[in-house]
Amino acid sequence: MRFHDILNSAATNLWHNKGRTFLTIIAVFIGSLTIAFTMGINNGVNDYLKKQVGNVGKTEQMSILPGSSSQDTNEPQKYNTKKSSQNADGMMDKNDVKKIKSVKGLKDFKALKDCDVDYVQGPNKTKYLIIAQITEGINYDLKVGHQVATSGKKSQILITKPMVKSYGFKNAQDALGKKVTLVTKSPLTKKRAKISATVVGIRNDSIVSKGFAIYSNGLGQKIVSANQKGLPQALKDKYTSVMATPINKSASSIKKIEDNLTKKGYSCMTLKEAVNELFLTFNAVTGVLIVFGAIALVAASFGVINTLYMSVRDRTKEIGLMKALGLSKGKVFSIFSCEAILIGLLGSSLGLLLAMGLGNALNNFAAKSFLKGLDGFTLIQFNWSSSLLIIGIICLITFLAGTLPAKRAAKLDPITALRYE
Amino acid sequence: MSLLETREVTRTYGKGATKFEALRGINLQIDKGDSVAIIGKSGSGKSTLMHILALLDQPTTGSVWLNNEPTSKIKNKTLNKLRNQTFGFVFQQFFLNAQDSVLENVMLPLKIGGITGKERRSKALAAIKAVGLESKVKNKASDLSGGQKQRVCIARALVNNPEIIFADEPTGNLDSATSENIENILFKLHQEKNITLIIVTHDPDLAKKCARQVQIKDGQIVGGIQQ
Repeated sequence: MRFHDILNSAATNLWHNKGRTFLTIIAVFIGSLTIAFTMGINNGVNDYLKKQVGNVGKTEQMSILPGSSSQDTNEPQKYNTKKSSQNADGMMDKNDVKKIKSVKGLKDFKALKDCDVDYVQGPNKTKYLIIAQITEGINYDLKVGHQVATSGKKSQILITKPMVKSYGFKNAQDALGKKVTLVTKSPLTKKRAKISATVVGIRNDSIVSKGFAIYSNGLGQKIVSANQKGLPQALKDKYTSVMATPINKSASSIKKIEDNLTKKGYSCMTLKEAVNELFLTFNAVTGVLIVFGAIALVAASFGVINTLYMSVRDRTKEIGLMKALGLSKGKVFSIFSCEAILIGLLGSSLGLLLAMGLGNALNNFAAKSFLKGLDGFTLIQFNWSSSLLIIGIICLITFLAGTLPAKRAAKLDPITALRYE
Repeated sequence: MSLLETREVTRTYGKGATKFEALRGINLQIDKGDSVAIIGKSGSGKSTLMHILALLDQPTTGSVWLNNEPTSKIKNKTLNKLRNQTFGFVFQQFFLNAQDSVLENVMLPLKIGGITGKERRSKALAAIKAVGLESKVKNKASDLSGGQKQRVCIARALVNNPEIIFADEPTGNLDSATSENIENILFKLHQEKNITLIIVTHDPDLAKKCARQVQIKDGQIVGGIQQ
């Protein structure tokens, strides 16, 4: 018997028992739909994540903050040399920086001071509050323009897309090269200082430092010095965080550094971890969905076994006849295995198709609602390799489920089978 | 020179207290071009004998020889090919696939034998023509009368140009007029194509048409008529 005849025989039998086939396929279909959908979301999110983090560069850069003290627990904590109430304001001093620098395996330390800006004004002179940080030296995802200088004295700023319109620029392109004015005051003298900065780039909405304007190193210095005018030296040395780069970028050595820092009473996180943490909840949800899909598939495989056992029983005489007419055991096994694989193929392809359809609809909806502005984020994505993988795995599962009935069919003795009533 | 031969063939079912001897030492020679009726009452062992002759079953002791070679040495693959191409089978209960067309049913042995395309179709059509069912080629097997079904069965047995046709009570389910028709077709083929006929029956009229009758009782040959 040729392969296409075997396939034909399997397909014909499925067709002759439409109702039974349909019900069996539904079970496979549900499992496939769940898994394909979850995989689609996973692909979409990972793709976005890769784009975001991949563009950034220096993802191993570590930001070190004072260890959390009172927030974790309601109980008053005991004092020790590593933790004092002074740290509770979330600022670090010279000693902290020294301690951090003593940790081995880090380089390029950069202690960041707080930059307080009262308000910012664009061409239309409206005063706006601003959330911003000094550049961390990474590549921010830009719509137009270029990154701010990470050293030197240039006074540059990256603004976000919503800021463009509010500050009175016509569009992103128009804003490039224009000036904005940042107004700050010293806490001691209460004297206002105006600092002007050139807009060099417009940020895309991104999960990395979402909604933050970015100052160049020079601009940051100017704001800090305006803030600290007249302050005694001891009060000037207040840092919000320390940035550092691990020398060895392997995960295990980064882990070691983090452990050391934690022991000394600091919390730290690489940029990569910070981004990944955002997706922890998401990963838990997709994980649960995949488990549901897998459970559906396990249930479906029992359905396949049951259906094929019925098929073998229905076709006992036919199998007996075919064996009497010279059909080998292997070919009988193939016919029923083919039937099982066809069920898997149909169920998984249908599930995948529906998942793609639903995914498209959801993507359209998401782009207009909850993902609005997150450029380059297609929530649900399908690619050939993962789609084929799903189909392949499901076909394998149904094939394995089908081996039990197929074996029974192959073992049938033609005489007994022909006598079977 | 004999085509098929059994030497002291016995066939036992079960063990111990439930042991049952279906055949007890059968010696039989069938020559090429022979027509043999194996007759006997129900439970006499005639069907078991046919299964052993058709190599669907193995004897418990003794041996079966095909073309003067012991069949116990034939490998499974060769055995399947042999049953597919050298033997044809006609059954009392027809064993047609009810949902398939007449053509599909007749093509089954060719499908199993791996013959495809035009050759398969033309061979099947020729066999259907030989039993006079040209007008029913596309009908479903379930829509046919009993006699027509048996003719489809014969066409299916014939399609590979077999050397031997085994017929197990071919007219057992048919009325006498239809039986006559089926018998005529079988014997016509036997004469025209020199196909060896081995018919298991308890119908004396059918048995009389065969050149040889072998009477089986309690698993032994108790008599026979050579015409």
